[in-house]
Amino acid sequence: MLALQDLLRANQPSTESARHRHRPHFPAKAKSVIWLFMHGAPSQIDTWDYKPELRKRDGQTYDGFDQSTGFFAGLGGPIMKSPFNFSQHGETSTWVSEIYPQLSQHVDKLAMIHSCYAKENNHAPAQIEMNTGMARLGFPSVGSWITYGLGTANQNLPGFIVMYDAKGRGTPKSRSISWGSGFLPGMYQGTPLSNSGAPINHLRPLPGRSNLTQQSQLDLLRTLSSSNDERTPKRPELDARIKSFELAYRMQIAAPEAFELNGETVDTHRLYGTDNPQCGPFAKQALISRRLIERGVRFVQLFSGGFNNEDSWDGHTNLDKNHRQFAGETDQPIAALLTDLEQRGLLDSTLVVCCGEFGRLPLVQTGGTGRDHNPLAFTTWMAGGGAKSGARYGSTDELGLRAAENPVSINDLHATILHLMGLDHEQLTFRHEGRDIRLTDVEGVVVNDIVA
Amino acid sequence: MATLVATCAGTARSQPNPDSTAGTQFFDESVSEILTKRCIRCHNPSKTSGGLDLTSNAGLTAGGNSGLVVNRKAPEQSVLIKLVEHREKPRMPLDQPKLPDSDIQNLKKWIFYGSPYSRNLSAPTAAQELVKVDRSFWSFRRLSPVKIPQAGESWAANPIDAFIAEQWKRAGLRPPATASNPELLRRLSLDVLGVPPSTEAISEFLNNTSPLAWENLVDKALGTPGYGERWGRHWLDVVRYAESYGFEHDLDNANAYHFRDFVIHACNADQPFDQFIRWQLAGDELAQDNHLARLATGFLAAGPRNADIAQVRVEQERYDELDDIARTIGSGFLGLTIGCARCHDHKFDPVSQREYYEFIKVFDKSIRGELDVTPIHENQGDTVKALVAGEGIEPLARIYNPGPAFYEDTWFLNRGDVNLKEFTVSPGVIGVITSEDHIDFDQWTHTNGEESLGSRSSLAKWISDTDNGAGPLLARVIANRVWQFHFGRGIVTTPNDFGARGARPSHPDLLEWLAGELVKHDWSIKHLHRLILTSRTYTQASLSAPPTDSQVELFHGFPVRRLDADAIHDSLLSVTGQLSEELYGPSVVSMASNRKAIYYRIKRSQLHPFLRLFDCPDTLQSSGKRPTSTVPSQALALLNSLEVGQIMADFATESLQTNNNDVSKDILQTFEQFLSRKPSQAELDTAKDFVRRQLDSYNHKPSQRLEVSLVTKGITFKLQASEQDTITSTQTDTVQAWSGSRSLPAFTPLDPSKPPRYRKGTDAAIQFGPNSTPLVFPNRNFSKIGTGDFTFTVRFRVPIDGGDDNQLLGTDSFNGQAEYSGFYLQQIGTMLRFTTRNTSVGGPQGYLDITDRFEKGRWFVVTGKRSKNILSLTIDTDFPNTASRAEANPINIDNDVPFKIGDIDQDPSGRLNGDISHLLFYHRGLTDAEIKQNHDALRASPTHTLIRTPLEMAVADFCQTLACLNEFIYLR
Repeated sequence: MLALQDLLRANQPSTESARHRHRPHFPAKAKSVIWLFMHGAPSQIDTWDYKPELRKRDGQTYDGFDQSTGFFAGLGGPIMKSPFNFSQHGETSTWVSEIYPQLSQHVDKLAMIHSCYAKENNHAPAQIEMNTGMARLGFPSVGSWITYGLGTANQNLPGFIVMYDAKGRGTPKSRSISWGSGFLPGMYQGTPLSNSGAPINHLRPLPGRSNLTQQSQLDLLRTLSSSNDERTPKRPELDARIKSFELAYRMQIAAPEAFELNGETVDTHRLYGTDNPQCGPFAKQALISRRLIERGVRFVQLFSGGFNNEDSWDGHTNLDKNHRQFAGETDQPIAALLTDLEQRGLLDSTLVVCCGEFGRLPLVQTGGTGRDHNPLAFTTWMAGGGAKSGARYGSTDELGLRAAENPVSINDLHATILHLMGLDHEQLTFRHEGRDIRLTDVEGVVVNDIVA
Repeated sequence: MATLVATCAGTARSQPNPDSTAGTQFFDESVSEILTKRCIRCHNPSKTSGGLDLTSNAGLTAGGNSGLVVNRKAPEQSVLIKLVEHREKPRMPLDQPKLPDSDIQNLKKWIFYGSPYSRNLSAPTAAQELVKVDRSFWSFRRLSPVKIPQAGESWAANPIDAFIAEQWKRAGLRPPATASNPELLRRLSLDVLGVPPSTEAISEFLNNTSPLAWENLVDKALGTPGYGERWGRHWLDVVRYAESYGFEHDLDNANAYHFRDFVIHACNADQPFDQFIRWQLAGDELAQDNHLARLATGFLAAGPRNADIAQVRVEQERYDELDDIARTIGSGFLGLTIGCARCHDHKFDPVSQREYYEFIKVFDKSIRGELDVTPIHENQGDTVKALVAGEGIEPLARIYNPGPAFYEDTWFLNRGDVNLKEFTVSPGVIGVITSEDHIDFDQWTHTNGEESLGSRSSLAKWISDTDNGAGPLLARVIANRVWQFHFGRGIVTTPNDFGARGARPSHPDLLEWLAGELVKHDWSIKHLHRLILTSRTYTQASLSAPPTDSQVELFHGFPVRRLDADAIHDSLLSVTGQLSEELYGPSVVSMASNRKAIYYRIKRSQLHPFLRLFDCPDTLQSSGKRPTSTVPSQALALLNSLEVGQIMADFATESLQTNNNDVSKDILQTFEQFLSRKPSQAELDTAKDFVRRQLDSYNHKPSQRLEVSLVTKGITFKLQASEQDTITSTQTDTVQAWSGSRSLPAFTPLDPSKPPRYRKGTDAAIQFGPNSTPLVFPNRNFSKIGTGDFTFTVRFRVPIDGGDDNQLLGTDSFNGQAEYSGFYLQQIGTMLRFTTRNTSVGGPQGYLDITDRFEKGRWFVVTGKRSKNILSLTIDTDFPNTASRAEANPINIDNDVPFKIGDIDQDPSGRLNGDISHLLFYHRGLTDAEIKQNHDALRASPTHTLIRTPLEMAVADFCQTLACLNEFIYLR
């Protein structure tokens, strides 16, 4: 099997409309992103945003609460304390929920923004907002923007790879729009994979065919292309097309290696927990993410949780059970990913981002023991890639309902992520319908306090 | 001036009298225009943003909510000046460029004068604010006659060539050679019909010596129904046509396709374009008795729609829908980015935010819904349900929080925010593309005899009116699209933006002339096609060297361009003789249907992977031009996709049969069919060598035909649709028994008079449905599971018309009673469901589903497993996937009903309409590796449709390689 590094090629796929130079606007540490998307929206106050006041006022009515905040207008019940115990960890003495026994060992690495807020209060639009900056359809995702801005460092793999729910519970509610390229050329859209079998579409030769028979097809293609030389107009685009077949052939040989976990040591498998029935599937995806980053993939996005409410972090009815389950699926793999990246010296150049599409209400949702959606506050953390270790930015009010101090919009979050990648969110534009459009539209301020 | 202000800010001096004529004169000369154009739209008596009214001295001196805004003693310190100098927020004018320094100095001086007004200013109407220069912008002007230049006389075939040659002359370029006849024929056919010409058409044309041969050929192409599908497809891009809601649930609009059929029909019938447009906006009002006009309103209904919205979002959602319509009409019909004025006045074009709201007001009572309409195609019956739009119809469903379908009033929304309503608006037109004396919407009121029609009709009349309405822009925009359709590049290279930020025309007079021709010839689009196709500009050869930028811009040499996704798809089917010429009808989902790409169902969240790979639009917004990317994944699809493999395998088998396995003859014929020319001797030799080499590989490695074997350890039974395993009735091909082993009893039809069928050959399978009964296994002992582990692997296919609920196999005892138990596998739409259940222990259990993976029309290998009370389901597709779920309680499958194939339970509904080729069953849980082994084996199974004789495979490889050539994929 060919080493992937041997196959690195500098040539960019050509398109008429993309003339961007594929390089950062200023030097930056981060070269790639792993975005851990907790689909369904984890509760900030039961994970990273400790609110002792909730315990004190458990069961009391929240006077003046605007019942249209959540999704189910009118179902906001009394204040509900967190079902989980919190304790302090690390030199930063950060309060962390008991559902993160392993991740809590990494708090000193994390830069946390407690004051994020979204505009949308339902999953699909909010996921679209989180991934494209707009709650409307048709805009490119963050991964597309970054791949457009920086290109890919490995021509044999897609530059932007997505793995959604590892347990086969379906796509995010926003479906492929979350990794779509909107008005950017289609080559910048995310490529969705699964954790088992062939990772990329059409990577295997057809039944009965072999690499050998395909090699002779490529020979024929080359011969017939040049035999007709005097008739064929010379165009760079036509040369690129012939090259793309050769590239495809190499990808076919090289790409499966990136997804093959057999070569990883027993210790690595153990670290991630790939054999653990609960967290194994997500662990494999986390491990594949590291392998992809190592091989020059620019942007990897993982989704924890599938399409249906109860198959995701959407703890409307029984938050305790729901969050324990999904934290159980992700805690060890994410902790392992941070350890592994650090041990391999990759954490500095890899920005790890973790968030949901919004937060949850400090109230019980009437009829159960869960919480309804809350776009007014949620926590996002980042690690590595130039994010400031141990930084804590912004805060919510005493019940964790609303971002109170230094609110951070999704535009701000995007501006910060682009900044960490060496991209100026005001300069990274694409001309569409007469306007130079940005990921951050006309807003966005870099949260400098979490930049190392 | 700067000096003066610096002085007056710094020192106390005697100040002029506010009423002095010098002050009012200064106001008239230097200030009133600034206030009128930049300030009072938001600061007037009816709209006092920030509590400030700037139309009068009284208003100004009263100040705003935060106090006084002018300080005569220190103009520099005036709040108004701080805001316009952007020293303090909000920066004024809001969301607009900063005032020029000279204006700011004038304001300071005026404040120093005591801010006198010579008169009260009145808030202008949006349209009144326009200045003459806006209406004289090149694309907003009235149409004017153009003089045809004296150029290219000896070469030109029609005026188009004169316009083109004139610019060549200026650039010192000479007309290039004319393309050869075979090249021209291929160009015309791919361009106008999206498929290469047939070999018969080639020889016919090459033997035609008539001087009018080309003109006749052009007419013939434009008269072919395939023309309407091709040009219609472009229009569908422009109007963001799709057949689902988009968003989370992305519900199907199964009856949206009638709009697509309307477009194809209208294009083929060469419906006058102005009427075509009017019908899409208001066909229901304008031609009430015409079913085609009603179907045309599908345009208004084709945009995205969110089916699941929170209560607080309902109204915002309605504005989003109206925005989609305004945006699409703007960009698609008028090349004007009207949508940019939703949150603020358009920053580059003279479209105000108020005009935007007046424009969407026109549509605010129109909703989408389904109506019974006479279909276009008589085969579809008398009436069909069609998705249309209009007033007073039953709105299309939403899943949650429907809310009102529309609102009585349309509000001007500050920053586009539904919580910032400012005032209600009346319907209006866009002023800059309307004659000054026709900006009043009432003048456009449309009547039908006595009866006054709705506001959409008025807008439709306005949009196509060349005298006083938007007609000139409408004509220019579509003329440019027609040109771009043929040359791959527009005269204006931003087809959806003819505004200030759009490109300027490379040949303004040519575009003006084409637009004029269009209007003069009753808006006949075919007239424009004909003019272009019969020009020598169109028939010139492609340059052999890469063209310079200037040559590209001047259309010097025919542009080489990649075929779009639809043309690549249709060509693959066409050259292999598999393309269906059928017009119209419900959408299909698989290449196996052999229909043109335009007939694929367009589901917003699941765009056809092959078409998407080749840059088909995402259907979320108007798309005026498809990009052309070159990426390895396209190559992978052409080399490794089952769809392309299937097309080539079928073609190779059939053509070898036709040519009696004469490889040379076969190569010659294939070459000409694919590339519209005969191969050279060298090419022929290369091709023969290739086929020989492939044949050797396939002959010498027969083991490749089955690279891996099935797992036999612990197998209970293995069924394969084969001569060996299937006992059929001697007279017919119906199944009497299916059995994998003599030691086991056979599966037999539940009702022997209604058996499934056995299909022999390369695609062997047991075919269930439509009225067959399942195969059942009489001896329950062999398939008893209890609480133990088990695994089944099945290879099956549901045909395109096989319905959305197919029960594949199972032992469930459900027969309508409350108590039941068993396991089963079922297909529901794009989802597969595997479940164990026993209602006597803990009631019905959660289902194990894999969503969005299943597709009708192709083979799938699926494995269901229960191991230690964990269920898992593996589906082997292009995106393989395993899902798992724990049983809440260990489920005891304790019933005595038989194991069924083609059904899951004891209830006859939902029986399988589809094919099963293999079924394996184990009384143990297979490992992941074993499951993979079975899947690999079944994928490479000898019955796989792509495994043929070595010769067929070798020839299929040759055909496939031809389809990968640039000569096949590019138009030149």
